[in-house]
Amino acid sequence: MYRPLKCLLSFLAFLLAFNAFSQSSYKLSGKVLADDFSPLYNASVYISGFSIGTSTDSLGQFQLGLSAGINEVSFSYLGYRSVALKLFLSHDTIIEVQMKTDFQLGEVIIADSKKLKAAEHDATGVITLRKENFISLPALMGENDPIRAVQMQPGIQSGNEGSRGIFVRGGSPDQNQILIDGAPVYNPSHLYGFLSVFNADAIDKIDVYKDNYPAQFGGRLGSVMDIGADAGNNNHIKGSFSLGILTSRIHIEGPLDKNHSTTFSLSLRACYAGLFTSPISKIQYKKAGYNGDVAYYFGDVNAKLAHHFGANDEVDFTYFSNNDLYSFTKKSDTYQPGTQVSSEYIEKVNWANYVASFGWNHRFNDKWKTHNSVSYSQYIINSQLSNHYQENSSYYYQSLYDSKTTSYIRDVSYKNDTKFETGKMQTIRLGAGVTGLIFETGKGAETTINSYYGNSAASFKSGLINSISAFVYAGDEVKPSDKWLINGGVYGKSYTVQGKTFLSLLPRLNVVYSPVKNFSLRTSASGLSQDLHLLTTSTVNSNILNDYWVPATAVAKPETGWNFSGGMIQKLPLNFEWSVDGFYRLMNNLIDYKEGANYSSLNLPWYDQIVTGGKGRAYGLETYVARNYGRVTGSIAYTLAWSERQFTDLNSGNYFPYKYDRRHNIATQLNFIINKHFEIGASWVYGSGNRMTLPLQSYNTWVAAYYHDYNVQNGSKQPENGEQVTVYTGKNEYRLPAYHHLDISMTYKKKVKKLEHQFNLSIYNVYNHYNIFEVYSDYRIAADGSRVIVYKQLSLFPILPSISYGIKFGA
Amino acid sequence: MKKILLVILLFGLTICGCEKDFSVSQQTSAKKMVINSLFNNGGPVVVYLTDSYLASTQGNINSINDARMELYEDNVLKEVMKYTPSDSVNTFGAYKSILFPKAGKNYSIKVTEPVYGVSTASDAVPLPASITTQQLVQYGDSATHSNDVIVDLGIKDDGSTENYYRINVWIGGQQWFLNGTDTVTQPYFEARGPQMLTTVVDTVRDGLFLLFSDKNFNGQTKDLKMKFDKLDPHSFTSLSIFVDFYTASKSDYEYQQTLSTYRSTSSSANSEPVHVFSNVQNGYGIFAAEQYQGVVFNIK
Repeated sequence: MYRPLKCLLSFLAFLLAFNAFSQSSYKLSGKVLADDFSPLYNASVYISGFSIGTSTDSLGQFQLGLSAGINEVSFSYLGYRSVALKLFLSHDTIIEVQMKTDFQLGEVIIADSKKLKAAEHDATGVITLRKENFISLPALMGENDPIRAVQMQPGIQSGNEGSRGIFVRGGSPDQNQILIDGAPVYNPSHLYGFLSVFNADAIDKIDVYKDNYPAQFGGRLGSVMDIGADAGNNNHIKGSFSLGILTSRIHIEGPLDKNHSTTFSLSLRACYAGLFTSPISKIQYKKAGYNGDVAYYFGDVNAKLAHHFGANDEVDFTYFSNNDLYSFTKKSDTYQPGTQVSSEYIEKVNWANYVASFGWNHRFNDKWKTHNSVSYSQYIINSQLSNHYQENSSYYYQSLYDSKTTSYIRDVSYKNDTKFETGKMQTIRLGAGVTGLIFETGKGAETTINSYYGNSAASFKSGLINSISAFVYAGDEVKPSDKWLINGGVYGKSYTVQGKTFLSLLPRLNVVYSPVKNFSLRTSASGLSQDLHLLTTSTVNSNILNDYWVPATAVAKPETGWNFSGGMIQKLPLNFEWSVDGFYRLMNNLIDYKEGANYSSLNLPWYDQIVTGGKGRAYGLETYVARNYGRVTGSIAYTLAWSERQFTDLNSGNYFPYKYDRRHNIATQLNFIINKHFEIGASWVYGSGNRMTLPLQSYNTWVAAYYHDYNVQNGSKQPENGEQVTVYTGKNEYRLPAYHHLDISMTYKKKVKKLEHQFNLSIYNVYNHYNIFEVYSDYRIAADGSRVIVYKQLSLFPILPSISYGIKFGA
Repeated sequence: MKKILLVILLFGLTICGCEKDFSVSQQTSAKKMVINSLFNNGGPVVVYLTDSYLASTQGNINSINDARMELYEDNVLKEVMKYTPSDSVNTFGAYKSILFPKAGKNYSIKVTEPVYGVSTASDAVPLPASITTQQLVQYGDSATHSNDVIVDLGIKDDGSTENYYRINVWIGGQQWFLNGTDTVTQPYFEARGPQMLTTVVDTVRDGLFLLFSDKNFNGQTKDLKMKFDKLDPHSFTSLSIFVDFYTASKSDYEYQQTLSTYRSTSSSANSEPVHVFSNVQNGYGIFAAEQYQGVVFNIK
């Protein structure tokens, strides 16, 4: 299977290299700050002449769609003097509004969005990425993937080449909660990590929480990626269209009515790589002496509809889905005198996310707002395998094996989130919700027809596991003085599964102290729990494709943990900033495969192959330096970390490194706007290699001695060595080679009349380093004819240039 | 034309890349001595001494014959064990003691070899279990036409320690059959895995033995009922069931348990690695003790 997968990915890489695009938008976004530059939460932003407005988030950020030309925008916040601005907009604009308490006029900075390239890090530890951050990174084969932008932040890393998950501070991918408009997304990637499922056209922004867990978030041990889908502008219909050899995208957005109170956004993306990989692979396989092909297709839909009922009510509906299909076929027929042999191998895998959410925002008054949402999320994977062999000679022999399997997760949730401003320095947040989870970890059927062993048919089922969890939370953000910000809260949850209920009460505390202007110290402690587990294998044939999600059960209890974090952030002159953070995370009730477990076993359920009650700890230090505004922008993030696990029945009960234990992780990026036409960018990432368990030595047991003796006594010249035992390293003791690559991009833009032409050249993995996607064992024949085991690495992406050409209109 | 050339260039780059496989630098590890010895009170201590080889190669058994092997009983040197290269049973080569191990005693070996240095291992011979009952429960059932034999072995477990037991069963006797019109008898001998009618836990069943712990009857008297099927009463002129009843040390149990898991899973590349238990310092293998008790059920 590996060879076809490898070639398929290469075809995708090749075909993606040519991709044309075009896009346009008119947005006003920015921040509302207090006089000490701290963000103002829930500040009101109104557009005069329209009955619409918005309020700032916890980072003081907002975003609105505006008409071209003059717009009157008002900003207000209790205890501060209102600010009214007249803005003439001809393109996307970012502003910072500093409000004053002493009746001085606010200070407004009009920023050029084209000069903002780095992610925003606020004093509380929240990282915000916007569309411009996604597209400023060098493209991977023509695609600007939002997840790659997230992986450039400190403490966040990819698992490996082509990894589908993100790994935050020594945690596993399941410990990260990925939400799109509040609905969970269980599988964030296409083709196991080739691309993320998130289409940059459809994403407005991503907030990443890894230091500070506000009370409204629960359910995972690691981090929260809160993704906001683009609701579209309320000015006029506009969109973009791209047509590529491999993928095509269409995006359209705008108002639906004359009052501009209803807006929509629709993004479609399709990958039809199979149209190319199928015929090309057929030719390749034909040369190899058999018939076959490999094909891959996927499609994405992102849609959002929003409607304002006056200034106090807004509803929105979000739909997101992706559907992937991978197939591999190999057939051969051989004829020799008196013998005819035919074989056929067919593998088809289909996986999909279906996510829908409905939200209602209601503003009772300036101090009291509430948000209600219901969501449905399903992740499903179906696989089908046929392996047929028939031999017709002096006898007839056939072996026909067919199997079908299905597994899925279904999640239905309701949530209420209510905010009260009890004073100018305090905001209380209350909420409650309920989630029903249906988890099918694997069911299916297999049939075997064998001339020697007879026929058999069996169905297997790991078991449908239903669970329900209910939660309440309360948070209080207090600002007792200009120097202090305290956010405390508690998240209470009950999780019921298989007749057993687990209760947890999880305190949260985040304290920010700013002794001087532009400098903050921060510390936080968070109690966390999650109702999912991820099983990872440590075998030689180890790759991320084999990681397996399962629910918490009465035996595999919900994971619990604590996250402690502390550090500082300082804004420096010339738009520089730097931060240093330390973290320590404790994890309990972890699960892992027990020794001898076989993840590919169809008839042995996962819960019979695990050890439970594991502990984990992750700790480290991360630093970040960035210049986030100007012609030259960039960032350097370095993380030094340890991540370990401990189980009574594994590794003699001693702590062992986690599979994704990365001692060093570096992510750098640089962007330089040379002039109004040219812009260049570069990024370099480095990570210590992943961990695995490697065979070291072999020996023969006492049983071997008896076999040996027996054979010698019976005159055998080549006595068998009998039973061999392999000695392995300690669990995950071996570290694979480091992962690193340098990417560069060059962009040329030229505006002709109303159209902006854009030409981009990106090169991924400039120095052609072969990063490990997978390690597998193989054999080679030694000079004496004996078989010798060798271990090999499979690499996916060599140096990959990509070229794109686009037209932007309406800017 | 330029575009076509560019396409060819990019195609070449990507295909070139996908064909690249590289050897992972396998961690080099030193060869070590391998000690293999499962001993009991029923015979001398026999130690097979070999060396290990790189896991990625298909190594041959290489017997080590130049080592000095000291055998200690309760930390007192009792004997320097001799290498027996031409032993009619052990052509493989082994070090054999004169001493027979005793119940409750701790035995250790110290192996000194010019190349590999010093390896040590030790284990204690468990005390024997007290056998309280030994009876035939059933042999055949005319009502159900059953050919089953059910026997009961009662033992009193020592509650002061954690105990492990291993059972091997042999069935022997004289079986008769018709050769034309003549009735002929011939010896019958068969190794059987016992089918336990009594619940035992922490079981390891590998081949023809059953290993279990005293976890569910610690310190109690336990009737171990075992069933053996397909023993037609009319087919035998004589029939006995020989039960080799071992009290195993914890090292022995862990070794057998992990080795059994290893045997059943190591053939699949998708299986998690199994670390076979070893109590050898600076080496590999096992040096573990058992207490042997033979029990015979004369059925017919």
